[in-house]
Amino acid sequence: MELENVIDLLKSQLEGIDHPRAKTVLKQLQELDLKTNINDSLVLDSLYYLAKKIPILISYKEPWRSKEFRLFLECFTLSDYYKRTLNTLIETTFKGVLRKVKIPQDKMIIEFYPGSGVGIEIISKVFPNKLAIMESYREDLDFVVERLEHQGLNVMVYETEYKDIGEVLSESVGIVLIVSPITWFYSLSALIDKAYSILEEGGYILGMCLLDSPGNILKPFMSALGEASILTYGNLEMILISKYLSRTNIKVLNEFIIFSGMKKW
Amino acid sequence: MYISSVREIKVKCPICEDECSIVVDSATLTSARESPSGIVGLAVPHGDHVMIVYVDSEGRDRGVRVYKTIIGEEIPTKLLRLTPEFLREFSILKGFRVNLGRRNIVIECFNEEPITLLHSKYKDLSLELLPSELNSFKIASYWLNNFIRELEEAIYDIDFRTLMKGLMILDSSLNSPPKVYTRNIFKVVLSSKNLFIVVDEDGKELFTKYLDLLPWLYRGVVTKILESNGTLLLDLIKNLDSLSTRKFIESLLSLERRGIVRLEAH
Repeated sequence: MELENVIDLLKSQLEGIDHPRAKTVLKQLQELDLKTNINDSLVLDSLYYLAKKIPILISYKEPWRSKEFRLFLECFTLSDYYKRTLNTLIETTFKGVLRKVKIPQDKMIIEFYPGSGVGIEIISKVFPNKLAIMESYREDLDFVVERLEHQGLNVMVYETEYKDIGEVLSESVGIVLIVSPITWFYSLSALIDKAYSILEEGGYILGMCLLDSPGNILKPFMSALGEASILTYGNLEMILISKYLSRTNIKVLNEFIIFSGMKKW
Repeated sequence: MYISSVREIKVKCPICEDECSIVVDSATLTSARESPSGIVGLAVPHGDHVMIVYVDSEGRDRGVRVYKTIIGEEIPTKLLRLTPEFLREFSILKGFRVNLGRRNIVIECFNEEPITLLHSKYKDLSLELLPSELNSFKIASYWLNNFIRELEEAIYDIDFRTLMKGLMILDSSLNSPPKVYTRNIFKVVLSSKNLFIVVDEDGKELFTKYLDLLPWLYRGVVTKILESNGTLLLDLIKNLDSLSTRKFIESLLSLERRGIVRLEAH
């Protein structure tokens, strides 16, 4: 499978669709200026599958809650490409410039809308803290709990929307993760706001969002599905500054911007 | 004192011509005496059909009939007793009684004296169980309550075979901690005579590329499901024991929540 095959399929699929988003995405594809190639077979296969399903998904009210998207995101997030990005995020936040960062063990690590749960799984290897996930959609909850339980992770589950998480939390929070593809369909600014409000002082937000760039192959796919958060470096920087986070760290990495910040003491 | 065996009847199944001996115990005679029709049915599952021997309060053979589904069919007695051999299919249960309320039938099976320890009632349905050993009453009660609720939802989809399959899964679950992702397990198995497996070829193609990264899934079972496009679910599970049935349905639900298969009702 080559990236060209994926792009060609997406183009041909969109040409047959009468939907406002289809026209926007076709324009994005015309302007696509790929600077790098993606060689990871799981990424290419998952995007090819997504392209096949675009005609159905584009008509859904919330395509990111569909079974088809769940299959895509599982394959995508299990790829080395995605896991490497996550590992870089964790490394740059806790092992790079800020080598002395320690999260007290009594503080919980929570992931917002965890998707397949790969994010919380990877961070669990770095920190021995109590783990939690927040998800409001029952089928997605079943999906992620299936994985986490079989990976032997003991995870607290908050079945709620992010807006209400503060009301149901029973533990103090040391890290909030906003990294799964499901979060790309929420307002990142609102998610960071909520993460900030539940964090203990000295706690960290770790995030990963899509980079708004004509060279980003993921952008047309997520635009077709109605994404809410594709940002430029500058946009994201402004969001983080407005939240009064300190020790902020923002880095463009392939198709993503990875970022972190600490709630001031 | 409970007298287990009163007499033995030899019968031949009119369909498969299988000959068997049926033990008529004192509880059967009491049931016949208390029944408005004066008879009780002793059910012997024979693969895809069930032979019922009708016995009166003296223990006399009052006729043999064969049914395919039992539930929903015209049968002359409300109480059906399964011969204790059926309990060989179970690992924890040593007896059960299920009252199907509006479907107007009570099915029970006991190895010894018909006493039960766990009871659950929901709407017009009730279920009583006699487990041999339990790790936790709380866990067993969770599964029991879950089962009866899903039984109520599927009450018009069940037949004898799917009800027994559901009880087999309940049997294999009683000592397992509850898992949210198995929440529909009973509903699916209870409705399995009406559900056909439809495989999405695109989903199958992608899934097989990373299946190795999900080591908790039963690969053989997953492969079997993916090769069963258009097959009736009951046909795939009818010959499986309780643990294998549970593994099968768990795998099916995993594939279903990823959109790789869907269950189409007919």
